Amino acid sequence: MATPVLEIRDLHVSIGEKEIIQGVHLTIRGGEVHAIMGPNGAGKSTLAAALMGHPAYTVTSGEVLLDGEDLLQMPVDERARQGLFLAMQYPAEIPGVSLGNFLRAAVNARMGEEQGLSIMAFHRKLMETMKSLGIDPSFAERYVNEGFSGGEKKRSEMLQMTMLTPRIAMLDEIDSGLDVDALRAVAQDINRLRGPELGLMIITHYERILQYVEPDFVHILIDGRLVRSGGKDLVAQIEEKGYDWLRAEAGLPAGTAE
Amino acid sequence: MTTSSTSLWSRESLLLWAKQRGEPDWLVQQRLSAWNALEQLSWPRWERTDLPPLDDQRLQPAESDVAGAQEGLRQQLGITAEGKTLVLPGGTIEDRSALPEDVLFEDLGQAVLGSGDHWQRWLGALVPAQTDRFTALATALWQSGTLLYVPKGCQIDVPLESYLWLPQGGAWYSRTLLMLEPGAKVTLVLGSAGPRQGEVLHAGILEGYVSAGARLQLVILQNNGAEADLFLQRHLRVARDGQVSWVLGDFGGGLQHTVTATDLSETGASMESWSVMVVGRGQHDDLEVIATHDAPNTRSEMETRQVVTEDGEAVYQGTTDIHRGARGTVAYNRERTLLLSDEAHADALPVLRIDENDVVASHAASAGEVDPEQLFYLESRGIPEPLAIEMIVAGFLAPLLDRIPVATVCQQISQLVQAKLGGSVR
Repeated sequence: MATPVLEIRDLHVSIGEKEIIQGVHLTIRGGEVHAIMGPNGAGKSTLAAALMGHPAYTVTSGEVLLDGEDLLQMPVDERARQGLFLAMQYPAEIPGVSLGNFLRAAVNARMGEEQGLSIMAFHRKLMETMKSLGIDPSFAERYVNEGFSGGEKKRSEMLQMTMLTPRIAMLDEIDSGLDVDALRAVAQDINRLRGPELGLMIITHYERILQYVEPDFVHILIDGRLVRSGGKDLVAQIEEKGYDWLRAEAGLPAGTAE
Repeated sequence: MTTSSTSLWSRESLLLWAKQRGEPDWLVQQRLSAWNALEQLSWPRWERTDLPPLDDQRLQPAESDVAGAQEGLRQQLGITAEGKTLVLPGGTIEDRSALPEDVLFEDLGQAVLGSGDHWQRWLGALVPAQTDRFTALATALWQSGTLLYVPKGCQIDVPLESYLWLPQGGAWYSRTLLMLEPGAKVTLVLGSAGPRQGEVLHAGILEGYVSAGARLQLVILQNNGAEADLFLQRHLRVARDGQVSWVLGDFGGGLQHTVTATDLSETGASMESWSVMVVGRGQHDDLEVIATHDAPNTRSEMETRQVVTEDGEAVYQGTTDIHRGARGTVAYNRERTLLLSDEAHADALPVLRIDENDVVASHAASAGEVDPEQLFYLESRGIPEPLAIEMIVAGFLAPLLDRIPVATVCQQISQLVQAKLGGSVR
């Protein structure tokens, strides 16, 4: 299969009347890790949620192609089946639905009806994957995200990503609220999946996770625009100087973000 | 399509028919006095259910297609109707081997013939004919129903099942009698279904007596056609330390009003009730569950979960009635509603009436729609919206289904929910 590619061209996204994303251009290919950094309120989560098709966000203009296909024309579930994945910062709780049953429905949907796994084959695959990630098998019996700790929620997102083998994955603040051990575990889950078959977008406003998952490209999002792109040395600059110098460089008013 | 072969629609023909059947005098008299009472009784007036005018044509007793019953029941309730199963009308059991000798499990219509006045004092004691016009009609005109008698100390481990197949038109009147002697234990599944099309009316009475220390698990599943109007009265009385567990699953039918009452009449008696209602296009389902605490140290716990789709209307009233003297009563009463469409309508009304100080009682009700964040999460994993909604509904019902003591029934209810939503969720 061809290398995955996500092409974002001049994307504008609004919530209600307010434009949050104001013309983003970005191309992510299989094998690449793109870090999107930026201050709070820059529009990082909006970018990911809009690409996934969250109903609260309206794409007002621009074009997004996943493997050459018009992503914006697809309903949410089809985007996922085409290989787009979003690890959410605040994943919803689904009471009464076990993580195992949920994953089975998701895996079968992703693989298509003909290639869907039997209950036994799915169970085997799930148990193997959980074992390789060091996740306790009883995790599959629990209701999706209900009563999960912050760390468990993130591991659950990583388990889902591993099971669903996406082509392009967006990880929205996958590092937030994690202690150092949990952060390492999540980083390990990500690194395990790196390879030519997967393009990654890692959204974060700390450099912490990028110490464990080394990005190929770093993009700075401020006020809904990518104001600077570069290599991983940009992370150190941000760490040292913050975002305001980039703001000034881009001709944006200082500190408009909340 | 109405086959009103039994034209019972006059006092004379009713008298003639009952006598020809060889019914005992007391039963003939009971029928005739109910018939006579019809004149004075008005149609019931319910707070949240409007009764359309019912002409005599709709009330005429009709007969079911017995030959089609098995296949129909298989399709609509997902049961095999084989083994120790009673299929009504007709009252055949294919295999009695699992039943202990003195257990009676048969068609009440047959059992009353030639049994003297044995059943007289039990029929009509809990649901009098004069309750309303439907109970009077059922008392006068019933032809068939389930009789289950379990003798003292007899514990039956396999669930017994009895299924009713309604006619395609006209009316069906049924009468069910359950008697558990002291220490008896049984699980009974009562299912009803009928042809998918055809305007039919079912008025039925269920009475049951659970003696000291006896345990009854009663599962009632209903998946009738969309034009089946159901008016049912069920009433159990529970004696000292007796236990009743109701499981109610309502899926089909058109206009329905059902009262399910349990009298906790002696010390230590307890009841629990788990109800699942899935109400969809063109349906109006009004279910009332009542627990009456009439003695000390009695316990009731009821929980209902309603799922309402399309333009369905669901009404649930859970009433906990604690009488003076019922000291040490513990009563819980919960209901939750999930609305799947803007047109769907639901009323859930918990009622607590307490006339005694020394009690623990609580009630809770909540209603809501599918959370868009849940839907987005499931869809973002590739799950199509109809399946996502089915999963959310299954999750909504899961905590209730987990409480149901019969595993096969949980599965059956899950399948009925799935089958019903599969057709209505888009």
